[in-house]
Amino acid sequence: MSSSPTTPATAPRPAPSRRRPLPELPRIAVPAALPELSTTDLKLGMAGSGAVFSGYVLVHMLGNLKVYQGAEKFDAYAEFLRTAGAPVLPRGTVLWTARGVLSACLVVHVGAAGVLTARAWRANGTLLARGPRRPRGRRRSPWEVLRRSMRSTGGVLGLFTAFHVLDLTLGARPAAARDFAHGSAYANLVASLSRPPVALAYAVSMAALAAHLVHGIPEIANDVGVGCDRRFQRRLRIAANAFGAVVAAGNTTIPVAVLTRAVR
Amino acid sequence: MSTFSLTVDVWRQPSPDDPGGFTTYDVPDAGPDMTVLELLDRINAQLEAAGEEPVAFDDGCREGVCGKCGVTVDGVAHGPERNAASCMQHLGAYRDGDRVRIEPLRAASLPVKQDLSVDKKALRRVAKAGKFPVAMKALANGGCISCGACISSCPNGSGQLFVGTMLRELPPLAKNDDERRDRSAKVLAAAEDEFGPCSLLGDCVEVCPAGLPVENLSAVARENLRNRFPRRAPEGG
Repeated sequence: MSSSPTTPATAPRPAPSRRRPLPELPRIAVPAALPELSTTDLKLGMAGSGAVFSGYVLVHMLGNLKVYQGAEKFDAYAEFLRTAGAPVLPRGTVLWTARGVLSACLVVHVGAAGVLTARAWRANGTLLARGPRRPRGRRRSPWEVLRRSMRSTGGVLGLFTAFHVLDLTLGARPAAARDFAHGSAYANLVASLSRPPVALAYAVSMAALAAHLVHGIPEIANDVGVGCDRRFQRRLRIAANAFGAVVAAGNTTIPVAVLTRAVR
Repeated sequence: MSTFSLTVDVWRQPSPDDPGGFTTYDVPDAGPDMTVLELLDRINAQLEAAGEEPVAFDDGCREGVCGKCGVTVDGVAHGPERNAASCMQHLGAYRDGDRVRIEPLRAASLPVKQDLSVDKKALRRVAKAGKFPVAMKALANGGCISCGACISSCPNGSGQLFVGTMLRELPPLAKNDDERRDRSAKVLAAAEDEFGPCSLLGDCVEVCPAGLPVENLSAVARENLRNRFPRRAPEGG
Protein backbone atom coordinates (compact mmCIF):
# COMPACT_ATOMS: atom_id res chain seq x y z
CA MET A 1 0.00 0.00 0.00
CA SER A 2 2.06 2.85 1.24
CA SER A 3 5.45 1.47 0.38
CA SER A 4 6.68 4.79 -0.87
CA PRO A 5 8.76 6.89 1.47
CA THR A 6 7.39 10.15 2.66
CA THR A 7 9.17 13.11 1.27
CA PRO A 8 8.62 16.20 3.32
CA ALA A 9 10.21 18.07 0.46
CA THR A 10 10.50 21.31 2.32
CA ALA A 11 10.56 22.25 5.93
CA PRO A 12 7.46 24.26 6.86
CA ARG A 13 7.90 27.47 5.00
CA PRO A 14 7.49 30.71 6.85
CA ALA A 15 3.78 31.30 6.98
CA PRO A 16 2.60 33.45 4.11
CA SER A 17 -0.02 36.06 4.89
CA ARG A 18 -2.54 33.48 3.73
CA ARG A 19 -4.26 32.58 6.94
CA ARG A 20 -3.36 35.48 9.13
CA PRO A 21 -6.50 37.25 10.29
CA LEU A 22 -7.01 40.79 9.17
CA PRO A 23 -6.01 43.31 11.76
CA GLU A 24 -9.17 44.45 13.46
CA LEU A 25 -10.74 46.87 11.06
CA PRO A 26 -11.58 50.23 12.58
CA ARG A 27 -15.26 50.49 13.32
CA ILE A 28 -16.89 52.74 10.80
CA ALA A 29 -17.94 55.89 12.57
CA VAL A 30 -21.72 56.15 12.62
CA PRO A 31 -23.25 59.48 13.60
CA ALA A 32 -24.83 59.19 17.04
CA ALA A 33 -28.32 59.88 15.72
CA LEU A 34 -28.27 56.80 13.51
CA PRO A 35 -28.91 53.41 15.03
CA GLU A 36 -26.20 50.79 14.63
CA LEU A 37 -27.34 49.41 11.31
CA SER A 38 -27.59 45.67 10.93
CA THR A 39 -26.26 43.91 7.85
CA THR A 40 -29.77 43.02 6.69
CA ASP A 41 -30.83 46.69 6.93
CA LEU A 42 -27.78 47.84 5.01
CA LYS A 43 -28.61 45.27 2.35
CA LEU A 44 -32.12 46.71 2.20
CA GLY A 45 -30.61 50.14 1.60
CA MET A 46 -28.45 48.73 -1.18
CA ALA A 47 -31.46 46.96 -2.69
CA GLY A 48 -33.64 50.07 -2.63
CA SER A 49 -31.03 52.39 -4.09
CA GLY A 50 -30.01 49.70 -6.60
CA ALA A 51 -33.61 49.37 -7.74
CA VAL A 52 -33.79 53.13 -8.32
CA PHE A 53 -30.57 53.02 -10.34
CA SER A 54 -31.83 50.04 -12.35
CA GLY A 55 -34.96 51.93 -13.32
CA TYR A 56 -32.95 55.03 -14.06
CA VAL A 57 -30.49 53.33 -16.43
CA LEU A 58 -33.39 51.90 -18.43
CA VAL A 59 -35.09 55.29 -18.77
CA HIS A 60 -31.75 56.95 -19.54
CA MET A 61 -31.01 54.39 -22.26
CA LEU A 62 -34.43 54.92 -23.86
CA GLY A 63 -33.76 58.67 -23.82
CA ASN A 64 -30.35 58.11 -25.38
CA LEU A 65 -31.90 56.21 -28.28
CA LYS A 66 -33.62 59.46 -29.32
CA VAL A 67 -30.26 60.35 -30.84
CA TYR A 68 -31.35 58.26 -33.84
CA GLN A 69 -34.24 60.67 -34.46
CA GLY A 70 -31.83 63.47 -35.28
CA ALA A 71 -30.40 66.57 -33.63
CA GLU A 72 -33.65 68.47 -33.47
CA LYS A 73 -35.68 65.80 -31.65
CA PHE A 74 -32.77 64.95 -29.33
CA ASP A 75 -32.19 68.55 -28.31
CA ALA A 76 -35.93 69.03 -27.86
CA TYR A 77 -35.97 66.01 -25.55
CA ALA A 78 -33.07 67.50 -23.57
CA GLU A 79 -35.01 70.73 -23.26
CA PHE A 80 -38.16 68.82 -22.25
CA LEU A 81 -36.25 67.31 -19.30
CA ARG A 82 -35.73 70.86 -18.06
CA THR A 83 -39.23 72.15 -18.73
CA ALA A 84 -41.20 69.04 -17.71
CA GLY A 85 -44.07 69.94 -15.43
CA ALA A 86 -44.38 73.44 -16.87
CA PRO A 87 -46.22 75.68 -16.49
CA VAL A 88 -47.18 74.36 -13.04
CA LEU A 89 -43.65 73.68 -11.94
CA PRO A 90 -40.72 76.06 -12.32
CA ARG A 91 -38.09 75.20 -14.90
CA GLY A 92 -35.74 72.40 -13.84
CA THR A 93 -37.90 71.11 -10.99
CA VAL A 94 -38.21 67.58 -12.34
CA LEU A 95 -34.57 67.49 -13.43
CA TRP A 96 -33.25 68.66 -10.07
CA THR A 97 -35.58 66.34 -8.17
CA ALA A 98 -34.24 63.42 -10.17
CA ARG A 99 -30.69 64.57 -9.53
CA GLY A 100 -31.41 64.87 -5.81
CA VAL A 101 -32.93 61.39 -5.60
CA LEU A 102 -30.06 59.85 -7.58
CA SER A 103 -27.47 61.60 -5.41
CA ALA A 104 -29.16 60.38 -2.24
CA CYS A 105 -29.24 56.84 -3.66
CA LEU A 106 -25.57 57.11 -4.52
CA VAL A 107 -24.70 58.06 -0.95
CA VAL A 108 -26.76 55.16 0.43
CA HIS A 109 -25.44 52.64 -2.13
CA VAL A 110 -21.77 53.53 -1.77
CA GLY A 111 -21.94 54.04 1.99
CA ALA A 112 -23.67 50.71 2.59
CA ALA A 113 -21.28 48.97 0.20
CA GLY A 114 -18.32 50.36 2.15
CA VAL A 115 -19.64 49.18 5.52
CA LEU A 116 -20.63 45.77 4.14
CA THR A 117 -17.25 45.34 2.47
CA ALA A 118 -15.48 46.03 5.76
CA ARG A 119 -17.73 43.50 7.49
CA ALA A 120 -17.20 40.95 4.73
CA TRP A 121 -13.42 41.24 4.93
CA ARG A 122 -13.51 40.89 8.68
CA ALA A 123 -15.75 37.80 8.45
CA ASN A 124 -13.58 36.27 5.74
CA GLY A 125 -10.70 36.50 8.14
CA THR A 126 -7.96 36.21 5.58
CA LEU A 127 -6.30 38.60 3.25
CA LEU A 128 -6.64 36.28 0.32
CA ALA A 129 -3.42 35.87 -1.50
CA ARG A 130 -4.23 34.53 -4.94
CA GLY A 131 -4.86 30.86 -4.45
CA PRO A 132 -3.87 28.07 -6.76
CA ARG A 133 -5.79 27.52 -9.96
CA ARG A 134 -9.24 26.17 -9.21
CA PRO A 135 -9.65 22.45 -9.93
CA ARG A 136 -10.85 21.15 -13.29
CA GLY A 137 -14.60 21.44 -13.59
CA ARG A 138 -14.73 24.34 -11.14
CA ARG A 139 -13.02 27.05 -13.18
CA ARG A 140 -15.00 30.19 -13.92
CA SER A 141 -15.54 31.84 -17.28
CA PRO A 142 -14.51 35.50 -17.65
CA TRP A 143 -18.19 36.50 -17.73
CA GLU A 144 -18.84 34.63 -14.47
CA VAL A 145 -15.89 36.39 -12.87
CA LEU A 146 -17.11 39.77 -14.13
CA ARG A 147 -20.64 39.11 -12.89
CA ARG A 148 -19.51 38.32 -9.35
CA SER A 149 -17.12 41.29 -9.21
CA MET A 150 -19.76 43.72 -7.95
CA ARG A 151 -17.26 45.97 -6.20
CA SER A 152 -15.02 46.26 -9.25
CA THR A 153 -17.84 46.83 -11.72
CA GLY A 154 -19.38 49.30 -9.24
CA GLY A 155 -16.06 51.15 -9.06
CA VAL A 156 -15.86 51.30 -12.86
CA LEU A 157 -19.42 52.62 -13.00
CA GLY A 158 -18.65 55.26 -10.36
CA LEU A 159 -15.60 56.51 -12.24
CA PHE A 160 -17.47 56.44 -15.53
CA THR A 161 -20.39 58.39 -14.05
CA ALA A 162 -18.03 61.07 -12.73
CA PHE A 163 -16.44 61.36 -16.17
CA HIS A 164 -19.82 61.32 -17.89
CA VAL A 165 -21.12 64.21 -15.76
CA LEU A 166 -17.95 66.25 -16.32
CA ASP A 167 -18.11 65.49 -20.04
CA LEU A 168 -21.74 65.92 -21.03
CA THR A 169 -23.41 67.76 -18.13
CA LEU A 170 -20.82 70.26 -16.90
CA GLY A 171 -18.75 70.41 -20.07
CA ALA A 172 -15.52 70.59 -18.08
CA ARG A 173 -12.33 70.23 -20.07
CA PRO A 174 -10.47 67.91 -20.55
CA ALA A 175 -13.34 65.46 -19.98
CA ALA A 176 -15.58 67.36 -22.39
CA ALA A 177 -14.85 67.76 -26.08
CA ARG A 178 -13.24 71.02 -27.22
CA ASP A 179 -16.35 72.55 -28.76
CA PHE A 180 -18.76 71.76 -25.91
CA ALA A 181 -21.71 74.16 -25.76
CA HIS A 182 -24.43 74.16 -23.12
CA GLY A 183 -27.83 73.36 -24.62
CA SER A 184 -26.65 71.55 -27.76
CA ALA A 185 -26.90 68.04 -26.38
CA TYR A 186 -26.70 66.28 -29.74
CA ALA A 187 -23.55 68.06 -30.93
CA ASN A 188 -21.89 67.53 -27.54
CA LEU A 189 -22.67 63.81 -27.61
CA VAL A 190 -21.32 63.37 -31.14
CA ALA A 191 -18.20 65.42 -30.39
CA SER A 192 -17.53 63.44 -27.22
CA LEU A 193 -18.02 59.96 -28.67
CA SER A 194 -16.05 60.80 -31.81
CA ARG A 195 -12.97 60.46 -29.61
CA PRO A 196 -12.13 56.72 -29.86
CA PRO A 197 -10.76 56.41 -26.29
CA VAL A 198 -13.98 57.88 -24.91
CA ALA A 199 -16.08 55.57 -27.08
CA LEU A 200 -14.04 52.60 -25.85
CA ALA A 201 -14.38 53.64 -22.20
CA TYR A 202 -18.11 53.99 -22.79
CA ALA A 203 -18.37 50.46 -24.21
CA VAL A 204 -16.28 48.97 -21.38
CA SER A 205 -18.45 50.75 -18.82
CA MET A 206 -21.56 49.33 -20.45
CA ALA A 207 -20.11 45.81 -20.07
CA ALA A 208 -19.55 46.61 -16.39
CA LEU A 209 -23.12 47.92 -16.17
CA ALA A 210 -24.52 44.74 -17.74
CA ALA A 211 -22.58 42.57 -15.28
CA HIS A 212 -23.62 44.73 -12.33
CA LEU A 213 -27.30 44.58 -13.34
CA VAL A 214 -27.32 40.87 -14.14
CA HIS A 215 -26.10 40.05 -10.65
CA GLY A 216 -27.64 43.00 -8.86
CA ILE A 217 -31.28 42.51 -9.84
CA PRO A 218 -31.58 38.97 -8.41
CA GLU A 219 -29.70 40.27 -5.38
CA ILE A 220 -32.37 42.95 -4.85
CA ALA A 221 -35.01 40.19 -4.70
CA ASN A 222 -32.85 38.21 -2.29
CA ASP A 223 -32.31 41.17 0.00
CA VAL A 224 -35.99 42.09 0.23
CA GLY A 225 -36.94 38.49 0.92
CA VAL A 226 -38.99 37.71 -2.18
CA GLY A 227 -36.57 35.18 -3.66
CA CYS A 228 -37.99 32.21 -1.75
CA ASP A 229 -39.49 30.51 -4.77
CA ARG A 230 -37.29 28.56 -7.15
CA ARG A 231 -39.31 29.23 -10.29
CA PHE A 232 -39.50 32.93 -9.50
CA GLN A 233 -35.74 33.04 -9.03
CA ARG A 234 -35.12 31.35 -12.37
CA ARG A 235 -37.44 33.74 -14.16
CA LEU A 236 -35.92 36.69 -12.41
CA ARG A 237 -32.42 35.65 -13.49
CA ILE A 238 -33.58 35.35 -17.09
CA ALA A 239 -35.26 38.75 -16.84
CA ALA A 240 -32.12 40.27 -15.28
CA ASN A 241 -29.97 38.85 -18.10
CA ALA A 242 -32.34 40.35 -20.65
CA PHE A 243 -32.49 43.67 -18.81
CA GLY A 244 -28.70 43.96 -18.54
CA ALA A 245 -28.24 42.98 -22.17
CA VAL A 246 -30.87 45.41 -23.46
CA VAL A 247 -29.62 48.40 -21.45
CA ALA A 248 -25.96 47.79 -22.27
CA ALA A 249 -26.56 46.94 -25.94
CA GLY A 250 -28.91 49.89 -26.44
CA ASN A 251 -26.35 52.29 -25.08
CA THR A 252 -23.38 50.71 -26.85
CA THR A 253 -24.99 51.16 -30.27
CA ILE A 254 -24.48 54.92 -29.86
CA PRO A 255 -20.63 55.11 -29.77
CA VAL A 256 -20.58 52.52 -32.56
CA ALA A 257 -22.96 54.64 -34.62
CA VAL A 258 -20.93 57.78 -33.97
CA LEU A 259 -17.61 56.15 -34.85
CA THR A 260 -19.06 54.65 -38.04
CA ARG A 261 -20.53 58.09 -38.87
CA ALA A 262 -24.06 56.71 -38.93
CA VAL A 263 -24.80 59.45 -36.39
CA ARG A 264 -22.97 62.70 -36.96
CA MET B 1 -6.90 0.61 -11.39
CA SER B 2 -4.44 3.16 -12.62
CA THR B 3 -2.54 5.16 -10.05
CA PHE B 4 -0.88 8.51 -10.44
CA SER B 5 1.50 10.70 -8.57
CA LEU B 6 0.43 13.89 -6.82
CA THR B 7 2.39 16.58 -5.04
CA VAL B 8 0.30 17.70 -2.10
CA ASP B 9 0.82 20.97 -0.20
CA VAL B 10 -0.75 20.52 3.20
CA TRP B 11 -1.36 23.29 5.72
CA ARG B 12 0.44 22.46 8.98
CA GLN B 13 -0.22 24.52 12.07
CA PRO B 14 0.64 23.07 15.48
CA SER B 15 -1.91 25.07 17.47
CA PRO B 16 -4.43 27.90 17.05
CA ASP B 17 -1.97 30.61 18.03
CA ASP B 18 1.08 29.37 16.16
CA PRO B 19 1.75 30.51 12.62
CA GLY B 20 1.10 27.86 10.01
CA GLY B 21 2.66 27.01 6.67
CA PHE B 22 2.46 24.60 3.80
CA THR B 23 4.45 21.37 3.87
CA THR B 24 4.83 19.42 0.65
CA TYR B 25 4.33 15.67 0.45
CA ASP B 26 4.59 13.40 -2.57
CA VAL B 27 1.96 10.72 -2.94
CA PRO B 28 3.06 8.38 -5.74
CA ASP B 29 0.08 6.03 -5.59
CA ALA B 30 -3.00 8.27 -5.67
CA GLY B 31 -5.94 7.09 -7.74
CA PRO B 32 -9.04 8.63 -9.27
CA ASP B 33 -11.25 6.62 -6.90
CA MET B 34 -9.45 7.85 -3.82
CA THR B 35 -11.24 10.44 -1.71
CA VAL B 36 -9.64 13.59 -0.35
CA LEU B 37 -9.64 12.15 3.17
CA GLU B 38 -8.10 8.90 1.91
CA LEU B 39 -5.35 10.98 0.35
CA LEU B 40 -4.72 12.49 3.79
CA ASP B 41 -4.85 8.97 5.30
CA ARG B 42 -2.17 7.95 2.83
CA ILE B 43 0.02 10.89 3.81
CA ASN B 44 -0.51 10.07 7.49
CA ALA B 45 0.45 6.44 6.95
CA GLN B 46 3.66 7.65 5.38
CA LEU B 47 4.27 10.11 8.22
CA GLU B 48 3.62 7.50 10.91
CA ALA B 49 5.96 5.06 9.17
CA ALA B 50 8.61 7.76 9.29
CA GLY B 51 7.82 8.48 12.95
CA GLU B 52 6.48 11.95 12.33
CA GLU B 53 3.41 13.76 13.60
CA PRO B 54 0.40 12.93 11.40
CA VAL B 55 -1.75 15.64 9.83
CA ALA B 56 -4.75 16.46 12.02
CA PHE B 57 -8.04 16.77 10.15
CA ASP B 58 -11.74 16.56 10.99
CA ASP B 59 -13.16 13.15 10.25
CA GLY B 60 -16.57 11.58 10.80
CA CYS B 61 -18.93 9.15 9.12
CA ARG B 62 -17.17 9.05 5.75
CA GLU B 63 -20.58 8.81 4.15
CA GLY B 64 -21.13 12.52 3.58
CA VAL B 65 -23.95 12.93 6.08
CA CYS B 66 -22.48 13.89 9.46
CA GLY B 67 -20.98 17.27 8.55
CA LYS B 68 -17.87 16.83 10.63
CA CYS B 69 -15.25 16.73 7.90
CA GLY B 70 -14.19 19.55 5.64
CA VAL B 71 -11.00 20.83 4.06
CA THR B 72 -10.33 23.31 1.27
CA VAL B 73 -8.84 21.78 -1.87
CA ASP B 74 -7.22 24.19 -4.35
CA GLY B 75 -9.28 27.04 -2.95
CA VAL B 76 -12.61 25.18 -3.12
CA ALA B 77 -14.33 24.16 0.11
CA HIS B 78 -14.67 20.36 0.45
CA GLY B 79 -13.01 19.65 -2.91
CA PRO B 80 -13.22 19.69 -6.70
CA GLU B 81 -16.62 18.00 -7.06
CA ARG B 82 -19.85 19.92 -6.57
CA ASN B 83 -22.11 19.22 -3.61
CA ALA B 84 -20.08 16.54 -1.86
CA ALA B 85 -18.40 16.46 1.54
CA SER B 86 -14.62 16.03 1.66
CA CYS B 87 -15.05 12.35 2.54
CA MET B 88 -17.02 11.81 -0.69
CA GLN B 89 -14.76 13.93 -2.93
CA HIS B 90 -12.76 11.92 -5.43
CA LEU B 91 -9.54 12.90 -7.11
CA GLY B 92 -10.84 12.43 -10.65
CA ALA B 93 -10.16 16.10 -11.44
CA TYR B 94 -6.40 15.52 -11.10
CA ARG B 95 -3.86 14.07 -13.49
CA ASP B 96 -0.46 12.51 -12.97
CA GLY B 97 2.05 15.05 -11.70
CA ASP B 98 -0.53 17.64 -10.58
CA ARG B 99 0.00 19.77 -7.53
CA VAL B 100 -2.83 19.88 -4.98
CA ARG B 101 -3.18 22.35 -2.13
CA ILE B 102 -5.11 21.27 0.95
CA GLU B 103 -5.99 23.89 3.55
CA PRO B 104 -8.47 24.07 6.40
CA LEU B 105 -11.94 25.52 5.83
CA ARG B 106 -11.24 29.23 6.02
CA ALA B 107 -13.33 31.93 7.69
CA ALA B 108 -12.94 34.14 10.72
CA SER B 109 -15.77 32.19 12.35
CA LEU B 110 -14.00 28.86 11.76
CA PRO B 111 -10.64 29.25 13.55
CA VAL B 112 -8.00 26.59 13.00
CA LYS B 113 -7.51 24.20 15.92
CA GLN B 114 -4.63 22.23 14.44
CA ASP B 115 -3.44 21.60 10.87
CA LEU B 116 -6.66 21.06 8.87
CA SER B 117 -8.99 20.80 11.83
CA VAL B 118 -11.23 23.79 12.52
CA ASP B 119 -13.50 24.90 15.33
CA LYS B 120 -17.13 24.89 14.11
CA LYS B 121 -18.69 26.18 17.32
CA ALA B 122 -19.94 29.35 15.60
CA LEU B 123 -22.63 27.25 13.90
CA ARG B 124 -23.62 25.81 17.24
CA ARG B 125 -23.78 29.26 18.86
CA VAL B 126 -26.23 30.44 16.21
CA ALA B 127 -28.33 27.30 16.61
CA LYS B 128 -28.37 27.80 20.38
CA ALA B 129 -29.75 31.31 19.93
CA GLY B 130 -32.83 29.79 18.30
CA LYS B 131 -33.41 27.24 21.09
CA PHE B 132 -30.95 24.48 20.34
CA PRO B 133 -33.10 21.33 19.98
CA VAL B 134 -35.65 23.16 17.86
CA ALA B 135 -32.95 24.75 15.71
CA MET B 136 -31.31 21.36 15.17
CA LYS B 137 -34.67 19.91 14.22
CA ALA B 138 -35.17 22.79 11.77
CA LEU B 139 -31.75 22.18 10.24
CA ALA B 140 -32.45 18.46 9.97
CA ASN B 141 -35.80 19.19 8.30
CA GLY B 142 -34.05 21.50 5.87
CA GLY B 143 -31.35 18.90 5.18
CA CYS B 144 -28.44 20.99 6.51
CA ILE B 145 -25.63 18.96 8.09
CA SER B 146 -23.87 22.05 9.58
CA CYS B 147 -20.54 21.31 7.93
CA GLY B 148 -19.57 25.00 7.60
CA ALA B 149 -18.56 24.76 3.94
CA CYS B 150 -20.98 27.56 2.98
CA ILE B 151 -19.18 29.98 5.30
CA SER B 152 -15.79 28.87 4.13
CA SER B 153 -16.60 29.05 0.43
CA CYS B 154 -18.06 32.54 0.74
CA PRO B 155 -15.64 35.39 -0.01
CA ASN B 156 -17.66 37.42 2.52
CA GLY B 157 -17.53 34.76 5.24
CA SER B 158 -21.33 34.67 5.20
CA GLY B 159 -23.24 31.76 6.71
CA GLN B 160 -26.49 32.75 5.08
CA LEU B 161 -27.18 29.33 3.55
CA PHE B 162 -27.00 27.80 7.04
CA VAL B 163 -28.94 30.65 8.69
CA GLY B 164 -31.47 30.88 5.86
CA THR B 165 -32.15 27.15 5.95
CA MET B 166 -32.71 27.36 9.70
CA LEU B 167 -34.99 30.38 9.36
CA ARG B 168 -36.95 28.72 6.60
CA GLU B 169 -37.62 25.65 8.70
CA LEU B 170 -38.11 27.29 12.12
CA PRO B 171 -41.58 28.84 11.54
CA PRO B 172 -43.48 25.54 11.24
CA LEU B 173 -41.90 24.42 14.53
CA ALA B 174 -43.08 27.49 16.45
CA LYS B 175 -46.22 27.22 18.57
CA ASN B 176 -47.39 30.71 17.69
CA ASP B 177 -46.33 33.84 15.91
CA ASP B 178 -44.66 35.44 18.91
CA GLU B 179 -42.43 32.41 19.35
CA ARG B 180 -41.54 32.52 15.69
CA ARG B 181 -40.59 36.18 15.89
CA ASP B 182 -38.64 35.71 19.08
CA ARG B 183 -36.59 32.81 17.75
CA SER B 184 -35.89 34.29 14.35
CA ALA B 185 -34.84 37.62 15.91
CA LYS B 186 -32.38 35.84 18.19
CA VAL B 187 -30.99 33.74 15.35
CA LEU B 188 -30.60 36.86 13.19
CA ALA B 189 -28.78 38.70 15.96
CA ALA B 190 -26.44 35.78 16.61
CA ALA B 191 -25.75 35.35 12.89
CA GLU B 192 -24.97 39.04 12.64
CA ASP B 193 -22.24 38.62 15.26
CA GLU B 194 -20.73 35.51 13.71
CA PHE B 195 -20.93 35.85 9.95
CA GLY B 196 -20.48 38.35 7.12
CA PRO B 197 -23.05 39.74 4.66
CA CYS B 198 -24.46 37.68 1.78
CA SER B 199 -23.85 38.83 -1.81
CA LEU B 200 -25.81 36.04 -3.50
CA LEU B 201 -22.64 34.80 -5.22
CA GLY B 202 -23.90 31.24 -4.91
CA ASP B 203 -20.54 29.70 -4.02
CA CYS B 204 -22.20 28.15 -0.96
CA VAL B 205 -24.78 26.38 -3.10
CA GLU B 206 -22.03 24.86 -5.26
CA VAL B 207 -20.18 23.34 -2.32
CA CYS B 208 -23.08 22.40 -0.01
CA PRO B 209 -22.95 18.61 0.48
CA ALA B 210 -26.67 18.61 1.26
CA GLY B 211 -27.43 20.42 -2.00
CA LEU B 212 -29.40 23.16 -0.25
CA PRO B 213 -31.07 25.52 -2.73
CA VAL B 214 -30.17 29.16 -3.29
CA GLU B 215 -33.75 30.20 -2.41
CA ASN B 216 -33.01 29.51 1.25
CA LEU B 217 -30.77 32.59 1.33
CA SER B 218 -33.80 34.81 0.98
CA ALA B 219 -35.40 33.57 4.21
CA VAL B 220 -33.02 35.78 6.19
CA ALA B 221 -34.33 39.01 4.68
CA ARG B 222 -37.89 37.76 4.82
CA GLU B 223 -37.79 36.94 8.53
CA ASN B 224 -35.98 40.22 9.24
CA LEU B 225 -38.67 42.25 7.48
CA ARG B 226 -41.42 40.22 9.08
CA ASN B 227 -39.99 41.00 12.52
CA ARG B 228 -39.52 44.63 11.70
CA PHE B 229 -43.03 45.35 10.51
CA PRO B 230 -45.75 44.30 12.90
CA ARG B 231 -48.39 41.97 11.58
CA ARG B 232 -51.41 43.50 9.97
CA ALA B 233 -53.58 40.42 9.96
CA PRO B 234 -53.03 37.38 12.14
CA GLU B 235 -51.21 34.68 10.23
CA GLY B 236 -50.93 31.03 11.05
CA GLY B 237 -48.56 30.28 13.86
